[in-house]
Order: sequence, then structure tokens, then C-alpha cells
Amino acid sequence: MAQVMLDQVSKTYPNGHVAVHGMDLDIADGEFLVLVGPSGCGKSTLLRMIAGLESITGGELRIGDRVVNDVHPGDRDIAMVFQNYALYPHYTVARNIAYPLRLAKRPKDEIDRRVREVAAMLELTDYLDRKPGQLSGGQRQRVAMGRAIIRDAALFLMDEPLSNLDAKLRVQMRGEIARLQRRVGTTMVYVTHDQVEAMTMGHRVAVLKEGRLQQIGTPDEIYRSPANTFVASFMGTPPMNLVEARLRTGKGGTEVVLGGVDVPLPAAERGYPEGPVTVGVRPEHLLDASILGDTARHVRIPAIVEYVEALGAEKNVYVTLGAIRGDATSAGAPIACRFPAESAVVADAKVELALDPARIHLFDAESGAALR
Amino acid sequence: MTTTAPGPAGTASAGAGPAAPRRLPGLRRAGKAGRTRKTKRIDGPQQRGMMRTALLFLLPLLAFYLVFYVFGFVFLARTSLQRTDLSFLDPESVGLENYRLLFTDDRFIRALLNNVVFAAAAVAGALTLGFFLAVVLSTGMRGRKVFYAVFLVPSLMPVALVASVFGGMMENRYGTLNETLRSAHLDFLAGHWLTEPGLAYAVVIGIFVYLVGLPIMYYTADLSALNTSLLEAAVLDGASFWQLLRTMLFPLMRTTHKTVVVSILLMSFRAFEIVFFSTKGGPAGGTEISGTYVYNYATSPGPRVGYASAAAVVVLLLALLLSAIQLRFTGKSEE
Repeated sequence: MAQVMLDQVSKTYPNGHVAVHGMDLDIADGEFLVLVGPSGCGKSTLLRMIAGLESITGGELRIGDRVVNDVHPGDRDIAMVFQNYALYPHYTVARNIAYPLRLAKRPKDEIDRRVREVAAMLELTDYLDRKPGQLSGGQRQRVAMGRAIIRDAALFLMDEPLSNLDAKLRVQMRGEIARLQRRVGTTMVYVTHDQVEAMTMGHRVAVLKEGRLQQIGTPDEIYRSPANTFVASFMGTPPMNLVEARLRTGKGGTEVVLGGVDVPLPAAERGYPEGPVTVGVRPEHLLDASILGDTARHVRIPAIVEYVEALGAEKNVYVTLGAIRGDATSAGAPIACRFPAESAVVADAKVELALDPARIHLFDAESGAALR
Repeated sequence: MTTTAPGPAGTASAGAGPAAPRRLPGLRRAGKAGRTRKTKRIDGPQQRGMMRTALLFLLPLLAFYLVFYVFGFVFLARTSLQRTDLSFLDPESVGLENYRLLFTDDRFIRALLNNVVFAAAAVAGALTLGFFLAVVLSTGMRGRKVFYAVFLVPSLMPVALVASVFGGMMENRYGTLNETLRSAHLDFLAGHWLTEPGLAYAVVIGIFVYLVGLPIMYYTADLSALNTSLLEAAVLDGASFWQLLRTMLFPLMRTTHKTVVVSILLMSFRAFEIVFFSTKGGPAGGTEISGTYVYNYATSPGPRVGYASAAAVVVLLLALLLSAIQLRFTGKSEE
């Protein structure tokens, strides 16, 4: 087990393309860190740099007390699970799992014992004599995990390990991997492009975009106070609604105009100068006023329903703000709201939204950075 | 599918005219029978028409095949039961006498054995040296294209040329090798490369192994299709370069090994030029292989063509057996 420290780590390819810009990350011993971002954001490159499969062109990488920039991948004490599992097709499951120990020339009875332990932990005991080609996707995934944990490595790296599984299995394995990591307590760096995996699995989440770290924090922090509009729109389904608006000083202090309604901002957000701003509101914070009852803190905003996605337990309702269609403030993509199932909204009807001003996020209109 | 038998193919063209059309109706019937058995459901006038068209397209190749392979083989088999010379005049039927003589001739047995030994050496060279070179060249080292050329070009040149050059270089008095050794005052190393039995044997083996370019190409193709994350996983699991070679790359190339082994075994039966243009089978038949054996008998004076034909038939049957094994191998790996 080890902590991992990245100090201004960067990757520049010989053609000048910069895949990772000076990255600072501090991963605690035993932590489960998720690297998330859209494809091409540099997350896999970063993982492969930690593994030693890609060279580091700038900065310093430490695993434990060692600077490992120039340490051979095999000597970094790292176990990695690949997206395609990389199981050795010519070996049985038992041989696959045993491979690292056999290379380390451990005694045969110890290898046997460890393979049995790991197989039992991963429910692979009945498949030890099979070849990878005879296994299902979920079983292959578990063999790859087994090969990683048998080594007692200081660090686990996982490169989108669930992306080849079907949706149901993915949900199941999500829980299994998180449980397994808690059980063995090994530091883990997990790469995914799936924000649900990022939110549900890790202790902390690092959001990457174009080779730069956007934000790092617990899933809750990332979700509740995104550092910029990219993080805000990347995490959450449907993503946070982002609306161009203006701040102005009205009778109730600093206000922002949404759907023709003046929404007074809470005291904490009043210090900002007037001018253009990006307003962010999560879908679940736009409520159906007709089933909310009377509350003083909510502002009512008129809107027109564009379409409704009924998901069973709830409804995703897409609206344009304003009392009439074509209102100046309603330009752009429809606004997503998450209503409970009992909401009676229908498409093309008018609806009144209720919004607690305290739930509003403000971002700089130009840089997209959160105004806090 | 090759025969080292000289002669018959050239004389066969006379039979081309009558042979092809006579066989056609029979082939058609065979086609029909096959269809009713296997593909009953799609039988109909349209399919019958298509079958006719397909046969028509096949016809030129079938005619070629019948003339040069079927007729050639029948002619060869018939000659092998006769005592005759290259004029094929007044053949005398001798039954299986040629075969009896053949299998009691130590020289023939040794030629076949040499085939196996040379093939084994070439296989060993391909599986070790060829495989290793392919791996090294696939690592993306600098100048790899030059090295590819160095190893591949000899395999693309006529084998006769390569063997002649080797033969010339190894010549005792004026050969480049001995001249070089002498001028470097290493006279004691200069040898009778082509006339001393052990050395001649080694030279032929050397040429066989030298033509390792094709296996390198097979391996390189397979390596380039290899899933690199397997190797990365093995490296992370702690595998050294040699362990990677032994536990990953070599076993993963299993299908290519089969291709290489069988193709080299088959090649060894037509490696006539290698031996003929270097040692000519000498000294005293020491490096003779089946091809040179047949050739030497067929071209030597006297009515020995029947005997040479018998040898060619045996070699051909052995090659067919190897081909059958190859087909079974490839069939298995596709499962």
C-alpha cells in the first residue's frame, strides 16, 4: 500500500501535442480515486504514465517514498486491470491468476493456496481450469481482478474495466469492485468516462478535460459545488442546466432574471458586480409548483413544457422558461427538470416551476469558473 | 502440391485436347450429386443455372489441372513400373521392381533422411532465430526497415542464385570465404567447405537456415496483430524480456508456428536448388536430398528414368501426406 503523488506531471508527445498538462494530484494511502472525463481528456494517458507504460516528459511521480519516473513498470509494484482485461488466452484461469506469483518464483504450494483464496473471494473456484475464451464477460472481468489482487501490489490501476460489460452487469460489478477495494484496502486509481461510476465508486473524483485537472473532491463536493461549467455539466444526468443571464441590482438586492422573473440571490451571492453571468440549476432543484404547496423561500417561474420523459419513479420534464414561447430568455436548449411521478405535467402545457434561490450556481460568463 | 519429377509435364501437353472434354460430364454429375445431398432447400432451376455458370468459369483451371497434375501423375506412376530411358521408347514393364530397388538403396534412404534433417534444421532456425528476429524487429528499433530488407531479400531472390553465391563463396581455392580467412592469416580456419562431408552438410544447413526471411515475415504479421495490452499486462506482472518471449510471445504465436513448420517441411522437398547449386549432393551423396537424387538418376546415362520416376512417386506421396497434415492442422486451429 502506498500513497501516490503527482507533482506537475506532464506528457508532451514528440509531435508537440500535450496530452497531460502539469498535473498535481495527491492520492492518499488506501484511497479510491476516480479519474473521469470525456474521451481524449488524458485520463488513460495519465493512468498509463503512473503504470510506466507511457513515459513522463515533465514533473515528478512518487509512489510511496520513491520517485518512479524512470522505474521499469515491472518494478513499480503496481497491478493493473485493462479495459479489454488482457487475459492470457493460452493459460487457464488458475494460470492467469497465478502468473505474477510464478514470475516471482514463489513456492508452488504458496501459489496454489493464494490462487484458491483469490478464486474463492471472486467466486471463480469452479472455473479455475477453463481458458478465458470459455468465460462470460463478467467472469473475465473477475479473473483480471484476481490477477491484480493476488500480488498484494502497492497500487491498483483500472482502465475503464467495466466498459465492455452490459448495463446490468456493470451495476453489479461497480458494487463488487468498490467492496473489494474496501476489503483489501489497496490504493486504487480508476479511470472511467462514466460519471455514474465516478459518483458511486470513489472516495474522491478528479475531473479532467483536455489534459487539465478541472476539479478534485469527494463525489458530493463535485456534485454540489462544481468548480466550473464543464464539471457542472459533466456530472449528473440530466446535466445541470446552464443559462446565460445578467446580474442586476433590484429592490431586493442582487437579482438575476430567469424566465422574465426577478430572482433575488441569497446574501452569500450578493457581492458580484452587475453584468453577464452563467446561471446553473440542477434539474432536481426545479420543482413542480402545483404539487409543492406554499413555501416562502421558493420563487415561481412560468414555463412551457416541451416534452416529458416518464422514468417510472420520476419524470424528466424539458421546458422553455417564460410565459410564452419565443420569449427572449428562453433561447437555447430546453431546461431539464426532475419532477416526481405524481406530477401531472403534459407536453405543450404551461407549468409553474418553483426554485429555491439558494440552489442557484453562478459561473463567470467568460471563463466558466464558479463564482463563490 | 509439387513434384520434383522432371520431364513428364513437358510431354503431357499432347493429351490436352481429348482429356478435358471427356471428363466434363462426369464432373457435372458429381456436382449435382453433391448439391442434392447438401443443399436440398435451395435446389431449383436458378441454382442449376448458376452451377452451370460456375463450372464454366472453373473449366480453364480444371483443364490445366487435369493436364499438368492428373495426367502428369498418371504418366509418372506408369513410368515408375517400367524400365526406360528419357526417350520413352520400348519401355519394358518390370512391375514393382523399381520400388524394391529404391527401398534397398541406402542412398535414397539417406536422401530422404537428409530432407528431414535439413527441414528440421530450417524449422529449428525459424522457430528460434526467425522468431527472435521478428520480435526484435517488431519492437520498433531504429533501422528496422533496413534489417527487414537484409533478412527478406534473400528469401525473395531465386534460391538457385542464393545457393550459387554460397557455393561460389565456399569454394576451396578461390572462394571469398577462404580468401578472406587466408588474407587475415587465419589459414587454419580455411576449409574444404563443399567437399569435406561434415562441412558440406553444415553449409547446406546454413543455407536452409539463412532463408529465414519468410518465417520472419509470417511472425511479423502475427506480431503486428497481437493485442499489446497482453504484453503490457505481463510486463506489469513482472515479466522480464526473456520471460515475455517464453511465456507470452512464443505460445501466443502457436498458429504461426504451425504454418512455419509445415511450410518449411514442404519447402524442403523442393529445395532442389539449394543442394544442387552448392554441393551438387556431394560429397559422395552426403548432402543429397530427394530432389537431387531423382534428378541425378533421371539425367544419368542408361535406362534409369523408370527408377527415377519411382523415387519421384514416393517423394510426391510423402509431400501429399504432409499437405494433408497441414490441412488438418489449419482446420483444427479454426475451430
